[in-house]
Amino acid sequence: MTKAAFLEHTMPHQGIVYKVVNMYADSKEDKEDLLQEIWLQLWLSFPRFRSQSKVSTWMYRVALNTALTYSRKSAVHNKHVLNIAMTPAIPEDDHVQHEQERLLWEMIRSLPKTEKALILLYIEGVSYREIADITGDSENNVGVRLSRIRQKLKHAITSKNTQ
Amino acid sequence: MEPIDDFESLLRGAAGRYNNDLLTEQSVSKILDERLAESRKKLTSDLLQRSCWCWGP
Repeated sequence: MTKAAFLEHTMPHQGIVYKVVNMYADSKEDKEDLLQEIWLQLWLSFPRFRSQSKVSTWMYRVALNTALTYSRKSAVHNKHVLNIAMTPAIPEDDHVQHEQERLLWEMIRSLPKTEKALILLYIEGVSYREIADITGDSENNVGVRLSRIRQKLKHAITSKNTQ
Repeated sequence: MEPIDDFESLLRGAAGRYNNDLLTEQSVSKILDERLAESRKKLTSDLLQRSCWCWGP
């Protein structure tokens, strides 16, 4: 398995890595560390990648599993100078004009880790079938859980708005 | 603040709000090389520590 083949498969979908990193890491150091860890885990699991599933499905699965179990072990990785440009986890006010959208992001980021994963996939337009493949849950359960999460978010935003 | 007209639109609109500079193949390759080297170094150090513990005085 060559690195060239790995890069050829993964580079077109590298946005997935950023999306997961931005959802789960806060500081610049954590973002860089998680980003590097996800790329490493993708590389290590690439030999087991079967082309029956889409590259994006496999990448989401590996990236989310890495993020869910991620905890920065040491400051060693901070020494790396890779000059990776990363924007803040929650879009800054400059980027997001709409207050409600900012509020929504705040709510999403405060969700439990597994719910965050589901809502990330949902807002990215990933189908319930694919979300089920990524999370290892049933399609029906994905639908039920997402419905609850959406209700929770909606309720939280409505409550904030009426305050 | 204005009321939410369409929560689903708001939620879906939250997608794509990422403004990262994409990495080059060279950058990813460098990440992999450095992380793998680091893992190997750690593994060697762990093994040495264990062997010292097993065979030590």
